[in-house]
Amino acid sequence: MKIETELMRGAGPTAVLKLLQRRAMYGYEIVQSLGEKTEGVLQMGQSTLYPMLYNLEAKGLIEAEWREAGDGGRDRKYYNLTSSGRKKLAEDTKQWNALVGALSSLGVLGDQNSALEVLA
Amino acid sequence: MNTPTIKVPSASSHGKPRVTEQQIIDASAIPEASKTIVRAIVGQTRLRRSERAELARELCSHFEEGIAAGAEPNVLAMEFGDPKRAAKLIRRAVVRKRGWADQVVRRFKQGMAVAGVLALGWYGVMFVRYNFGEPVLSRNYTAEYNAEVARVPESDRAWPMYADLLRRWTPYAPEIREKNYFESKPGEEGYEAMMANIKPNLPLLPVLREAAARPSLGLPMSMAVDPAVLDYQRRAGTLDANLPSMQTDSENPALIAIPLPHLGLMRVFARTLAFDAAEAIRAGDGPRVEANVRAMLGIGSQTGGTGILINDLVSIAIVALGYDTISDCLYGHPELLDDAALKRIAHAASSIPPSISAGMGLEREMFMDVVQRVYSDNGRGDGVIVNRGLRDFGALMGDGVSDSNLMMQSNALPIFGRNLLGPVAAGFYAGRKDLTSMYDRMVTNVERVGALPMWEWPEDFEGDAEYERLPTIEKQRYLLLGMMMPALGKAIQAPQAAMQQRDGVLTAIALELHKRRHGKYPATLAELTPDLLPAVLPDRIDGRPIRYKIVDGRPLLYSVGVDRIDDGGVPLHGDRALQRNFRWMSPRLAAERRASELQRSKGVVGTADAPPDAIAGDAIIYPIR
Repeated sequence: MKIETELMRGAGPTAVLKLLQRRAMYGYEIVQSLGEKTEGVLQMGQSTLYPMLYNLEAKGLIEAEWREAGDGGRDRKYYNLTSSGRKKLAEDTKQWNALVGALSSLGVLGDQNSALEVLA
Repeated sequence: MNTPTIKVPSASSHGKPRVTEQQIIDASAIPEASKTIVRAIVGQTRLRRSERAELARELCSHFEEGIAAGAEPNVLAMEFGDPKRAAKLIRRAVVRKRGWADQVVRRFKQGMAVAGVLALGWYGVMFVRYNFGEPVLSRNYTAEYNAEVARVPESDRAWPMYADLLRRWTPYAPEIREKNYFESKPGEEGYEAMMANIKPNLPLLPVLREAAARPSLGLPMSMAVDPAVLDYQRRAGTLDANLPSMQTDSENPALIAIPLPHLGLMRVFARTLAFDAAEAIRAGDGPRVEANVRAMLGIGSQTGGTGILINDLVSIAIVALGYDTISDCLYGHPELLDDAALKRIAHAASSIPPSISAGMGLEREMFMDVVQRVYSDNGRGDGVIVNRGLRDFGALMGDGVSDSNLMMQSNALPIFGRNLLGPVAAGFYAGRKDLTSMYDRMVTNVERVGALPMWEWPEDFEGDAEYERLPTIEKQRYLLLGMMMPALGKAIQAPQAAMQQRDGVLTAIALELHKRRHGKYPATLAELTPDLLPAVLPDRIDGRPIRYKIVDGRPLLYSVGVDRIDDGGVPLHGDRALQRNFRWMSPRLAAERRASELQRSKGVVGTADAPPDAIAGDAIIYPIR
């Protein structure tokens, strides 16, 4: 299912922050994880992902560092959640839950798990 | 799929670019098709070198990871999306990541770019308005003035007689002009030389007096100077080199450019009458004195009243010659003028209009005429300075213009300079509406004040200071006003002094008549009313009656002068000339100045060594000298 751009613009950054909550990840890994964990719903092209990552970095929500990967000697740019990022994620989670709850009460949503629960 | 094992070089070390994006991409083990995508994206971001290298490194890494994970390069490329859009979004995001200093510089550059575009647009508009705008001569002020002149019956016009006289008039010898003998009195240096010089003209005086008795000058304004004037100036050796070249008359000549050479000639006539009057006093010829005085007043009256300041100032100077002669005769030889003659002179003096204070109609029109020649006209009273207008104005004003500023030096500017800088000047200088509004406001204010007696002038009146008080930049914006605005504040004081002298002469005549009736001068001026004067005439500085006292058996009339303090008739610097101490100064400033002067002079007023601009002392109204 293809999510409309406007919805993706709101959900995408929160989804990325959620992915990075547990561990640092590099760009390709983030794309893959988003696609797999949301069964393609939040799949985004790299042309969307990297600008999003740089924006989150500009806002101080994530930070990047180059590390040598153990399995081939390649360098990877890993993104970590900062403390600001953690706070932002907590706020966004509350808001998303409120939104999902509101939409559920209107019957817009079924008994689905929150998307953020899926990413956890 | 084998995992590429070539290590991509790092883009920077300690923030400094070490390798280029090209080197990074070249060193990467990803397929050429992927490299092409990376190059396209990185190149289109137009980021800084280090940022591009960093981006290239990350994107190469991305493709390497994909390939290592078993993805097909063409699928990876397809998933990447539109490189152009990616480059645009990445650029925006990376720029946002930069530090605050970069943000400030970026905003500044953006601001400058916007300002530049706006400035360019503004310049374009002004370029068109300046270079393609045309002045519109909607009024012919000269023709309007001349239409009024044409309405005067020929028998009332004095100019044809003056022109005829000029052809026969013997000019001053160069020595007279060089040594300035024009105001010498009998017994003074130059008097006899002056008398000898005017002798050939004495037979012409009856005709001159007849011309002076006509109600109007009747001289139309024209670029073509009367040939009689040119002929006279040639013989006198005073011909203005520009005058003959102006002989081609235009249908709508600029008022400001019209020469007024007759003004100097009116003074020549009046001076001759004054010298002949002095001789008449010496010869005991009262009727000749009276005839000359009335002729001087007549010439003065004909010369003024046009609404042009310079004409009015010359008129005042000519009339003052008449007052001077009356004063000399009354003070030294009153018996020469019988009662009837004195009354006729008083009647003639009191019928002279107050000149400048009546308004500056033609002075305004002169300004509006220049404006219509320099500015475009949008039909609603507004417009901008235009190229052709500036060029014409420069030609109109001649070299005098090049002493002033910027575009007003239009003739001095090379043509490309005028064309290219002109639009900037046109935008900078006040628009037509603003300019004429400010001119109108300033002139109206001065006219309003000038119509009042000096004692009613507002305390904060500063004459010409309104333009001078403008901030420098505003002065430049209203430069045309600065160039065209005459010294109005000073100009409106001249008729006040002239009126004061007139009132002094009328009072002196009344005193003489009183003495003839009662055998002595009155104790106060109030005794002259109502038989000899309808009312006691005022000191125009403080509004109280003219000060009067008897000194050595003869009357002395005086004004309290600039400082508004009665010093018992002690004149400033011992100088009796009224003008020296008869001008406007705010009461507060005058009080401060007087206190400071008296402190220096230890309380003595009117000392000869007082500073030139001293004010402590009175202004003598009668006798004039």
